[in-house]
Amino acid sequence: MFQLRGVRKSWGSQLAVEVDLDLPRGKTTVLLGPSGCGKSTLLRLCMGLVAPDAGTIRFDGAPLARDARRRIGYVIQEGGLFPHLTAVENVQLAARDRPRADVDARVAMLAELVQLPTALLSRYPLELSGGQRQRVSLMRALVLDPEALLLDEPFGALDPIIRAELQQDLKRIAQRLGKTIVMVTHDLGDAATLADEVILLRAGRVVQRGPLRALLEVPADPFVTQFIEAQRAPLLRLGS
Amino acid sequence: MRRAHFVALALLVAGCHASHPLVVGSKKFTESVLLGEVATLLLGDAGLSARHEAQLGGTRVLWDALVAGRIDAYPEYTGTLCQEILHSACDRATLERELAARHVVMTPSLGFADNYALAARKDVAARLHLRRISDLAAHPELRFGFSEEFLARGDGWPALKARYRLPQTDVRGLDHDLAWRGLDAGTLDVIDAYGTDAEIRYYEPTLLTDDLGHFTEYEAVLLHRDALPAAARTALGRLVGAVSAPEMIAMNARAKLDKVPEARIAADFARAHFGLTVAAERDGVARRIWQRTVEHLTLVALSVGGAILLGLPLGIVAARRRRLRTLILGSTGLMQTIPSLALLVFMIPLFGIGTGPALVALVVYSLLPIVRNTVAGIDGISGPLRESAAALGLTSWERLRLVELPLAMPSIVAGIQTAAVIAVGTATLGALIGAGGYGQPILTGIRLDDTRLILEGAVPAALLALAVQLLFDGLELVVVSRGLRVRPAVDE
Repeated sequence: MFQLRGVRKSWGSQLAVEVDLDLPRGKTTVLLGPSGCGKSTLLRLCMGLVAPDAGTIRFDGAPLARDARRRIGYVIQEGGLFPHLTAVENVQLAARDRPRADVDARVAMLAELVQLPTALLSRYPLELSGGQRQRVSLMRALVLDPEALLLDEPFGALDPIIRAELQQDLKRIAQRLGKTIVMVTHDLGDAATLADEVILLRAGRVVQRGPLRALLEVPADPFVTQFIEAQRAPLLRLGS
Repeated sequence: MRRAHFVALALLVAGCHASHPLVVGSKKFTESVLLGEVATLLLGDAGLSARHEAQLGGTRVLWDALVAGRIDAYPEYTGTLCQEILHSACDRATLERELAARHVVMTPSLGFADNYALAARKDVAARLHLRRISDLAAHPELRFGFSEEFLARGDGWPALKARYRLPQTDVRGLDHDLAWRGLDAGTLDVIDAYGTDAEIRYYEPTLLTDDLGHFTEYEAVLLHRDALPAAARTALGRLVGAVSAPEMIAMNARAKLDKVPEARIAADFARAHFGLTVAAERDGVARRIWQRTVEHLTLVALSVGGAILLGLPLGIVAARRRRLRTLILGSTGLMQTIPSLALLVFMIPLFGIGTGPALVALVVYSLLPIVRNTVAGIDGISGPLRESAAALGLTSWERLRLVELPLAMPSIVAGIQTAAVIAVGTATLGALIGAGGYGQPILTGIRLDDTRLILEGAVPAALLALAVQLLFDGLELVVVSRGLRVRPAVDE
């Protein structure tokens, strides 16, 4: 779905991303890595919010252009909902050129899909909880029925219980819609629950790519083990 | 919005047509106002349509307005003409020749001269034995307070100081009416005075003899445009030789000491000398305040409206174009540093006198808070929200209309509120150039030392500022999304 060829992006003299990647259609790919590894920049490159210094990006076979944004849904940490619009207005804004009746029907369908009580739709973002905001963000990202869904740390600001709930809900949605999903996170739980495939990044480059199990069992580099152990070890030590 | 345009247009048109009746101007001191009032009555008596733009400002303002054709006539003094305006010799032939080159005609003397004099506190003069100006040379510690005009003019303080070798260094420039009060209160020892000042009779200072014959003659005359219709010339000519010095002092005293309205004094004079029967209008206080309120509100509403129409786009451009930002914020900031009084006077050659130039000046002053708050409001939008707007594929115009302006609205409204409250205060200065409003009674009140009149302008102005403040607090509830005002929910 996304084809990145010789793509390089630097911020000043600091290399942010240097990759050659194909992100498969209909699969959920999780970009893993510590802070500053370039995973968010990679996602922005795919969305066309950042232009690469070198290389080409193709979306669905064609060079990535501005109008592709309407075929890709995008969710960021804390949702990025506009505080001056109600939940439903935020969703409608994304579909501003579609017939009203179609949008209304789609909003009702999506509210059910993301399990948001319709009474909350008329609230402003500040009147919603963090989890509810992320559900609205998801609705906004999906309202145009995009071919791909890009998620940047979507659960980053949530407490663990809400996080687990949303992981399960997103997994269910992914299975039901069968969309290409690319998700950025540093959380192994997100990856374990959702990923068909994991791409571990360090300093802008791919360290290892494959199912999460492969990263656990056949690490390509000591860094892979180090990254995974950093999250797993405290629990394992408790268990022993 | 369309209605606001219409009102602005109607005012412009009205402004243009208002130049048809004859306009008599006067300077901002009582004697000039009285003479202007009488001259206007005489024009009216000749069947001409005439109005009086009273207390427009100082010599420079009146002279420029006359030369530019904004006013048709005003009272002047021969000494002021040669010393301050023409910088020429002071004989009549020279003056008439110089004036003719500028299409201005001078009448013969109105009957009195208003020479400069120096007035000293009576007790100070007695203690130091001051009788002549020469006597001042021996007392360098004396505190002088002179009108700004006297400080600047050819025969004023610099020449006087050189001629009499005066050593004083504590010399302050201040309004002539305030100078009299300073002399009375003992904060000043010597001030400049005019021969017909009413205060001479009231404060009884010691007038110092001009023993070296330094001061020029200040014959009172009327100046008018040479294109003035013959009927108007004849009407103004009736004032020639008609006012004696004691009569002028008596009229000045009635206005300043007895607080009789100038219109009434002028009407009495016109009746006594020319047999005119004038029904001196006597507006009630309520009607007067109401009229001032309308004038003031018009000034504030039109200028703030203009500043919004100009400032909002400027702010948006400044927020979006890095390179233009410095230029826009710099230039609006710079305009703010021009003293408002100076700006008003600059406007006269460009836009004439009255409401027009006052509006332009007020718009200039209202610009900065609006531009700056628009920029700040748009700049303050967080990175994630900008990214969201971009990710939704909004065009530049949609982003502005649907996201940036609504989010910046609290800041923009606050900027407009600041501009409006400041405009209510600054608009009082508009009276200096004939724009009316609450500044009119304040100006007259200062001139006549009449606290009641000052309050008649100052209190409504303060109340209006408060009302504007409240209005915008209410407006914020309407134009700012409720979503930006609600309190955050407690997380699940």
